[in-house]
Amino acid sequence: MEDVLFRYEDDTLALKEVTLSIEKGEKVAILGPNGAGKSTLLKLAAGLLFPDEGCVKLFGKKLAKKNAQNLRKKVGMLFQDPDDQIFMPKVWDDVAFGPINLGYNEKEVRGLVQDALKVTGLEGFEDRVPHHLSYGEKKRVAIAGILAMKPEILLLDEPTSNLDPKGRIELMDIIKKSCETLVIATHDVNIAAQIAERGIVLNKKVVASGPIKRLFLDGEMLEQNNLDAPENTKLFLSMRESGYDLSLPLSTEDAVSELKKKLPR
Amino acid sequence: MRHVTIDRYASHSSFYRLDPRAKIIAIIFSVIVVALLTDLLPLLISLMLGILLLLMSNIPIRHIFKRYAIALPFLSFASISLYFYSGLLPSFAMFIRISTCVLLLILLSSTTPFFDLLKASQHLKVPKLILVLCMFLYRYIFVFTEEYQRMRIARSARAFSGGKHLLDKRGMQTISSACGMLLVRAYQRGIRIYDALLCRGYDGEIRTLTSLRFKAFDYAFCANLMMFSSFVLYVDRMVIV
Repeated sequence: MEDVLFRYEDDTLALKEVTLSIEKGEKVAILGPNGAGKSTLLKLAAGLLFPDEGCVKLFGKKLAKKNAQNLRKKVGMLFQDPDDQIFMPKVWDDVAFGPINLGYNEKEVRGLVQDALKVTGLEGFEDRVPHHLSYGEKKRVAIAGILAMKPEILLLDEPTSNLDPKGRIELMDIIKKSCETLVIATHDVNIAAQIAERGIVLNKKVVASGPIKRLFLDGEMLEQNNLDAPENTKLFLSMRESGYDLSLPLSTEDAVSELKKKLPR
Repeated sequence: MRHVTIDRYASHSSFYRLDPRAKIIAIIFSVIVVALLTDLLPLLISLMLGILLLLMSNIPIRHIFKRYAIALPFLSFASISLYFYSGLLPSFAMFIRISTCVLLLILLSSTTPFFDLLKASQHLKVPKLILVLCMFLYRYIFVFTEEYQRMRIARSARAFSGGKHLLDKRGMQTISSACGMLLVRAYQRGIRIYDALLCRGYDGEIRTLTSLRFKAFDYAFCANLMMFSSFVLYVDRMVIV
């Protein structure tokens, strides 16, 4: 993305001077407060919206209305509300929707759907109807529908919002093993810390960018953008302030192994 | 939230395993035949057949009656108005005729999941646009009702109790603005769904895979029902001549 500017229909500015690039194999978190333009950024990257100024390149090619249809095939996007994304009346048909459109033959489609259902733990849900599923299950069906298309990059818009803790953990496990290249837009810093290596703080424009650990050290910047460091990081920061020599963890596992090293039993 | 479940009994039914195409062809054929019948005796025979099939289908009788009750006002209207023009017998025949058709269609719709009906219709060359519209309608009617129920609960949570009768102006105002809100939300959701469709390679056409197989049993069912209907029609015409 180079120097992207985007306005909504009512002329409010959504994004300004946004320049960023995401390499293959990277796991990036887009952090920012509500209304920072995170969803808009993802839609621009998926070729659903086109910038008013600047340009968006996907796999080295400039995204335009003409080639968007083709380039989109390699991009998977998870929307916030799974009801928007599950449009077929049965789970199996919904997951099969993408692969059929990509032109796979019947046998391949069946294989892809089965794999996707397996990864998302939805085996046995084939004939269920979406309106009888729980929110977490719907979310998993939505992901299965994307994974069945074997995307090269996965864009996730607030994937864990409205999920209960168990649903969140299950979803994170699925996301972790789902795709090599991930972009996750969220204001849940705990989730971002678990998944992403690089972080981009967005608030209409790119406020900060870099390894996610470093971003969480800049308390002032986080506060200005209505964000917060993950609980583990905060705990360790205050421990450091009181003189303990500890390195900063991102996940609970990191924290535990760091503590085990330093603390006597 | 509670939903209307139109597919509730489909999988319990003994006719569930039939290929939906067989059911559509055979039942629509019978419905057309019944509509052509003029004499009371063949009509009664068809009615008996319809009732027999429904009894065989394992659908709860209560469910059948509920469905039938929806059609009752319409068919009463048709037969009562006929009574004034041509007398009791044709009016009664009309009542039996429409009832039989309705019962046969209840049989079709209660023993076949809605989506299977659509898939089968696609095979039978029903225009795709209509089917896609039906499919989205079926998928989103539940989302839509849920959204409205949520709004209604939010309303009553803030002590709204109006709108019970048409003269309650303030209540009606509230409800009408809620309806408008629902329309706006539906429109926005439509846009989001379209985006999601695009993301999954939608190019203007919904494609599905079906595993429909026309088996010997399906042929037998089709042939039997059609033969029986034809026979009834033959009797009907013979009696008249």
